[in-house]
Amino acid sequence: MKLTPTEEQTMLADSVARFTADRPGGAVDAATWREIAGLGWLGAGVGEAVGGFGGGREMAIVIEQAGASALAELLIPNYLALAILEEVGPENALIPDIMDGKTLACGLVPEMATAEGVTVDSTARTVSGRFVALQGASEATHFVLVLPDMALALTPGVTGVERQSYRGLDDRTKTDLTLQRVPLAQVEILAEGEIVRAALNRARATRAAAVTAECCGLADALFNDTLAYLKQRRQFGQPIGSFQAVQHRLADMFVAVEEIRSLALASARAAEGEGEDHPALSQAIIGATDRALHVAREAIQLHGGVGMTEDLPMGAGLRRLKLLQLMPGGAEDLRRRIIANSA
Amino acid sequence: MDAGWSQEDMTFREQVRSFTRDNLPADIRGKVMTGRPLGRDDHMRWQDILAAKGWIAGFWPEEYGGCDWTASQSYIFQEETSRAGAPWLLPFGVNYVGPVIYTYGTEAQKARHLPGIVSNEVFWCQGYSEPNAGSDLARLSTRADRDGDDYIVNGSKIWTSMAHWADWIFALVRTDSAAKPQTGISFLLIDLTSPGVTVKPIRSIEGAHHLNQVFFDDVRVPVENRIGEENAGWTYAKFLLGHERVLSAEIGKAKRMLDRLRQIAGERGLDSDPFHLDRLSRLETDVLALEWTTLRMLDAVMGGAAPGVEASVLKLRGSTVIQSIAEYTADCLGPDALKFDPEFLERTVNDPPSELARNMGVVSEMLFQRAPTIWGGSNEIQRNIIAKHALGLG
Ligand SMILES: Cc1cc2nc3c(=O)[nH]c(=O)nc-3n(C[C@H](O)[C@H](O)[C@H](O)COP(=O)(O)OP(=O)(O)OC[C@H]3O[C@@H](n4cnc5c(N)ncnc54)[C@H](O)[C@@H]3O)c2cc1C
Repeated sequence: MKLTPTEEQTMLADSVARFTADRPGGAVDAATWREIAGLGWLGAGVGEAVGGFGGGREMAIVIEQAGASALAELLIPNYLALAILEEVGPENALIPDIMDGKTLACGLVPEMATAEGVTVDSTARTVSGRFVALQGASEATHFVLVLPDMALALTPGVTGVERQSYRGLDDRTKTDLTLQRVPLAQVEILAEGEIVRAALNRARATRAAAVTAECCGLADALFNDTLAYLKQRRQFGQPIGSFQAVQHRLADMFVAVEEIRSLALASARAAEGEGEDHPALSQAIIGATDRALHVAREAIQLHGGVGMTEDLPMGAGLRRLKLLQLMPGGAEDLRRRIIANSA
Repeated sequence: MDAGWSQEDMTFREQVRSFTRDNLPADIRGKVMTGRPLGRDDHMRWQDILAAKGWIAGFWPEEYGGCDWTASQSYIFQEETSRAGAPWLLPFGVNYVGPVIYTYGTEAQKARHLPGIVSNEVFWCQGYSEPNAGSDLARLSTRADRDGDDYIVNGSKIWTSMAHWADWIFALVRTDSAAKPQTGISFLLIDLTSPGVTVKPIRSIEGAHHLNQVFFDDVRVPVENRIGEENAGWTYAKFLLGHERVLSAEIGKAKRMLDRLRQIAGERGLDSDPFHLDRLSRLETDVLALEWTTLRMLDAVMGGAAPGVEASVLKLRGSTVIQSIAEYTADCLGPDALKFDPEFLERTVNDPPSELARNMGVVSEMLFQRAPTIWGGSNEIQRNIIAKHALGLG
């Protein structure tokens, strides 16, 4: 088996953890992004042949370690775009541009669209669809979209493309992207037909690995904050953590984090391969999100009044996780799809 | 299912229902139904309407301006008004300090403070919790040192709901630091305009401002503002907590929230989705069980039983049931829950209701509803009480 991290992977985790610890909560500006590119981390999700250094595991490690900060949500759309490009256009000039931090890209798969889905009109030669609450999309200059039989890249300036940004539930910028009969003549078709299927699978596995890794990073941080708080906070003349009722709650949170870690690893392994069995990936996203939400609710409860305070990680974590749960392609949506498909 | 209400109770229910229908201002109802935050004015306007009707302190004895309502009338009043979309009747004056004053206060204190509560002119807040004394309230450290006819108060209270709107605070303070924690506490009424009082806002996770920290820096409080005996404040505080907990299962509100949940699910075409129906039915069952648990306890109280561990049962389930409804309602919004901007909500609070504001209101309520399992004796503390006092464990 290959489940224990290699020495390189452990070192990568440590250096990302140090990097994010030095910049607590802070927004990611252009200089930080260049620094990250300089460290090579944008190449974590793709192989050496296209100038990267990793695959699903390495990508998941970076996201997990950045998971409690604003960085994760900016990395994910770029990783997703790179994974698609690596499959369908390894020579594409976007790859080095994204990895060098010169171009901000946003990868898209059909589940990220609203229920109407993404449609290609093959007679009129147009593509339509609506994506909501996208992260890292307000400044993206390229959208890389993979559909069951077509992969394409488009820029926001094209006819029929509209973007609207607003403040999201997680207190960060979110963007709705509407493609209204966008002429295929104005987009770059990266690949068409049978071969795209593998890219879609790869993208789906990559997205599952990314979301579960973020859940893992976030839940782990919330758990650790709560553990530390309960060791230090005293009521009734002793640390709250000395009450058995509280200990059991922490033990359950710990178990939840362990399981999220497992689901994240399973997804990352899937993202390393050719792309895999779709229902299990959906279940990994659902399972990781549910468990992380449990951890976030418990973190608030066990902090008492402090847990209700804005500007602390507990409330922010709950808001971020609710967003991951409720976005198209998130846990809630996938759960309904699984039930609908088996009905 | 019929609980066997008396004819008087049924008549009273009709009265409350039609009064609320005719008198609750539409804009206030609109805000409540959409979960948008209420301002001080919204609360005060509705409470003025109740005060004019003589219903603000209905359960108080008539001699102090109440209507001598029975426990079942209080229950009916709360159920009917909240179901209809009335704001939460702020409990600090009416339910908390008022009964303490008419039970333990001097004639002068009653004459000075009760009329302002009944007329809704004086806004009270509750100063119990401190940074280092929450669940273990008895270890509070805000101190009051005697200086002639005054106490000099120093320290701070935290999580003080609506202190920034309040005129007065009732506070537990330490008057004897040598005694055992519970025996060195006194109960003071403090005018918030006194020199040395500072109120600082704390924003909560839904981005709204209702919480505060209140600082006391050499604040002079006349000794005549002490309730009852010096160092006996814990007794009065516990009496008050008893009142706080009886109210904690808000059946009318739970039903109102279920109405909204059904409406939102309907809008989204979920009303025939088996997955949704399963979840909805579980929540409806929770409310049914809570309602009948409340009714059983109400009947026992009407028969003269003192509310004991039942209050903990109601607090525990009242808070978690409403919390679950609030969260699942947001879940039903799906991606429409993802636009959330507390500043927008605040800025547009007096605009006519829109779907966007309603959706944000639902999210705001989901976040805020994490609080009831923490406040008023946290649910962990309630479980400890049940285990210890009802089950004889430990
Ligand atoms: C929205 C809101 C409004 C509030 N309004 C007011 C107000 O107006 N006035 C006022 O005075 N206070 C108010 N409070 C404060 C509230 O009463 C306290 O938050 C509550 O008593 C818990 O205290 P704490 O926050 O210090 O948490 P802590 O006591 O530090 O508890 C932290 C965690 O440990 C758990 N815990 C503590 N002791 C034990 C134990 N022995 N066994 C098992 N678990 C334990 C608690 O349940 C909690 O989960 C408000 C709180 C909130 C959230």
